[in-house]
Amino acid sequence: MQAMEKQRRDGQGNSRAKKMLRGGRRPVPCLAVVAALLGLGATGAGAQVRGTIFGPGESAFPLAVARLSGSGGELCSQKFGETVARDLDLSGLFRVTSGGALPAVKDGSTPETVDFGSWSASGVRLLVKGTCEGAGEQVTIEARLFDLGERRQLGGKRYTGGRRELRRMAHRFADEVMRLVTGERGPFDSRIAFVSTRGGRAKEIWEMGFDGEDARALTRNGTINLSPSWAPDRRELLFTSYKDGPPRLFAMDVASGQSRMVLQGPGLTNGGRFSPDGNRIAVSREESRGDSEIVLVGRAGGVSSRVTSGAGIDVSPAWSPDGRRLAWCSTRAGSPQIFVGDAGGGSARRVTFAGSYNTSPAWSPKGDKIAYTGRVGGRFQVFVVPASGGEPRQLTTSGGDNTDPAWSPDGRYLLFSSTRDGAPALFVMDELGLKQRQLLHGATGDTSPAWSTWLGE
Amino acid sequence: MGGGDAPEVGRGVGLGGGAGGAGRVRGVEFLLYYNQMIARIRAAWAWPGTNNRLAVKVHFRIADDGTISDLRLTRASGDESYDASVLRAVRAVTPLGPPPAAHRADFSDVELTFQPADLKSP
Repeated sequence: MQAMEKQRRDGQGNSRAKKMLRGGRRPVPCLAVVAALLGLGATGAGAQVRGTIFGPGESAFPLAVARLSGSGGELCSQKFGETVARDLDLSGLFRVTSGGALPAVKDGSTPETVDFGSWSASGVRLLVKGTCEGAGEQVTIEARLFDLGERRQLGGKRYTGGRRELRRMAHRFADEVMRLVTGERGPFDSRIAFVSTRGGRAKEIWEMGFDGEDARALTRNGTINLSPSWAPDRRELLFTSYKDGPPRLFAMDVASGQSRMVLQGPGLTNGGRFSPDGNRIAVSREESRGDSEIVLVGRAGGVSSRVTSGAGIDVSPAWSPDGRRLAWCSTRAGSPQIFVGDAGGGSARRVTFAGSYNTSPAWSPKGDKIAYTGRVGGRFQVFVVPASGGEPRQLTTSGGDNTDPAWSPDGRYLLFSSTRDGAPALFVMDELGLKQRQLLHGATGDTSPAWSTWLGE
Repeated sequence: MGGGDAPEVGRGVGLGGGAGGAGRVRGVEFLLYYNQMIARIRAAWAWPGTNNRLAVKVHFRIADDGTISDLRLTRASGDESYDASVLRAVRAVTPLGPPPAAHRADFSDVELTFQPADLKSP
């Protein structure tokens, strides 16, 4: 019965469709009409109308950061708001708006202070709003995230600390916004170490926050310092230095700036990396002229075991997040390629096959991917390949060289060095290579980034 | 719910091929409304994540005045934030305009599948 009725109705719709086509009253997408006239041979019960939506219309949530109210003053509001906005913008997950075009915002941070009605026409979907209280050196920030469409609060945090810690509070709140929206914490409450020629011609090790604040030189020896790498507890940084002549591996206490030698030659010693538990260091050491091997060293120094041996240069080790395996670059098959093997030594498996020069592996903290630098058409680009082997994916395509990928602590982003605009500078992109952005405008001479783990829990 | 054999014809919005329902031929009036519904929901759907294997199904009714009600998730992805983005998108477009008079019964029973587009290299 019902089926017959439907049939009849559809028949009518059909002739109306033809009429409309002939009359040309309205532009109708041809394909849509063809699909309709052909009919679709589905059977089965279920909904009367079904459809599939392929892909979101927006790849970024429109988000506004409102001025903080309260006794903390304009500077507090500005510093916090700017930092949150910048982090969320660089995340690529949000389209951040602020300023005059937005509806006026009442003071306070509670849901009652949000006039949801006035936002409905703005297109903004998420609102960061809050207060900064405290006239002296100590301030308390209360910040909340609101879903303007659903008219509810998604979450909020309170932070208390000195004014010097305002940016840190902002980074933590940006991480929280990402957690509330995507279910995974963001990567901004962290530090970045890198090699820079900022201070002159020498290559020194530097360190800074994600937005470049408190950038400071950790070495000032006027020579060449390379390949920084954080200890998992962020107290120490490994780096290779020419400060005493031949390149040796050093560990620096980040707070005091004191460094100690971990491993010396005879030959080149480079690319030291702490194991995820912080107890061991993988490093490449030149054992005979022109032949480097990967060895493991205790935190205090002293070779404890060998990972590689035999023909071919083995350099640039990177730990898997479980600390059981290493990825590194080896020339054992002729050209430099990425290999993966047990940290205890033994056989190694080749994971890159395309291209004649692949190096600088970085194992994702999620464990599933290895990023690396590969040469294509005379230029270096950043790639990722599944850690278990498979098809590599080229993430950068720009002019210049794109090198030295380093993962964010959440495994969603990569920092890398690029000469696309001339002088080398640090860039950030997501794990698919989308939203590539220079980290700090105007900062050049920075290379070889290392992204720390989260500063707080 | 069932009906997992709905034809998935065409990609993206506008082809209207997904409007298979019970396999009947439908007219332009139907398609215009259908396409508008799909386009508005898609435009309201924001999902910046990178997981491309999640598919979510929702079920809802469109009343004669265009109001969307009885919205429910009939297949969850396992990722709560992703499911929430889909529900948010459907809620954001209510009310749609009134459905065409001849198709009110059809639009009182709608099932949509949401899946991220294939990810392309930059």
